[in-house]
Amino acid sequence: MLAIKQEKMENKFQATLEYLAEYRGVKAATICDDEGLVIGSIGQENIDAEYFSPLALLILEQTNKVLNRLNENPVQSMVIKTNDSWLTIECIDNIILVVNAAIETDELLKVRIGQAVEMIKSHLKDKYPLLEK
Amino acid sequence: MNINAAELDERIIKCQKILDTDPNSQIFAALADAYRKKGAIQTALEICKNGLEIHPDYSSAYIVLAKTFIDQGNYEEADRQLHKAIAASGRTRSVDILQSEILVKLGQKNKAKIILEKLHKSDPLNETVKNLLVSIDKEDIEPLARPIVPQLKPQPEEKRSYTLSNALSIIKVLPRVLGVVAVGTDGIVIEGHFDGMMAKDELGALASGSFDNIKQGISKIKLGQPLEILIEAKESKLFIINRSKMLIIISTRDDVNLGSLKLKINEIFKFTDFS
Repeated sequence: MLAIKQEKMENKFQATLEYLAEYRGVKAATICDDEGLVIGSIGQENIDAEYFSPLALLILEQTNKVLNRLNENPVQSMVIKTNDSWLTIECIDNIILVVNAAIETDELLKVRIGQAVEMIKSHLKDKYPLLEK
Repeated sequence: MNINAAELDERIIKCQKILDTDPNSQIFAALADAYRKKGAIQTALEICKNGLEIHPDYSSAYIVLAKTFIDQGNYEEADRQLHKAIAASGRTRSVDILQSEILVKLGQKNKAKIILEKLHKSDPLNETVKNLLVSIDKEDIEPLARPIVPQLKPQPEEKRSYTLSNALSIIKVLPRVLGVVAVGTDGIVIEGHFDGMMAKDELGALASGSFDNIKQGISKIKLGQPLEILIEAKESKLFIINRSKMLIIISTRDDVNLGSLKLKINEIFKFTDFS
């Protein structure tokens, strides 16, 4: 029992995803690296959260091209609202967090996503200090 | 928009860097405008004149030149340069406002009043127009009665209605908004208001291209039709709103209050005719 609990605690990325998924309205969340490799994902039964990794990479690549042409810095965060969904993409060093929520979800989800980003940052800092820019 | 000296210096460095990389860039107008705002009138004039030799039809540069001559007190030359801007790209609300300011300075208040009254009719909330009208009325009616502060009579609440042009002008003057562009579904810019920091045609085309790509990607996993896209970069934000037959693209500084901006935009769009 203790071993399982410890393992769960150590997997901070999964803990972050669970923290996000418990928020009302969140349908799926994925953490992947900047090459699209899925590190962790969580989602409702009918949603394959792993789909969000290639989608996020594609969107980021195209948007960064536009920003580069406009002499702007690369994307840090993106929020796409559709008629039924709310997709957030957060870039944290070479890690990408994607959160899909129902459009009716309240705006405080942003705060929850902000906290999740901090959790990932802190985990990266502890576990992979050399990654820090 | 109030810009402090540090921001102007930063803007000058950024523009100069772009101009050094590409001497044919139209960024010279933004560079000249930044120098003008810093009070370096001669430098602004030189940059504008040099740039206009390469881009003789670039209307934004004539506008900067006109503003520089206004700062110098040379209103006749400012008027001449503004006419060149009109000849190159036609009239916009900001050109009309600038022209009325010049006309006031040249003592042609009746002409200025005609322009301002038209502007006021189409956009009764525009503070700059209101202030200019008040200043003309004040000088005409009470040339000696300086201590009396003119006040606008409280008007009955009008039913607000904005044209696309009015709506974009209002959005442009919201705090920390750098520019706003309306782009058609074909990627052609319908109207734009920018300080000259970016080429609005380029921004319009790129942003609408990016929107189409996102739309395609999203439709593949059945997430619906995108209505709003917010892109946050280190020093700026880009907000793309899908409205019936067009995209409204708003570029802001990174420290913009998004919540307040969204509320104001929604309020403006509620009264805007997009047809």
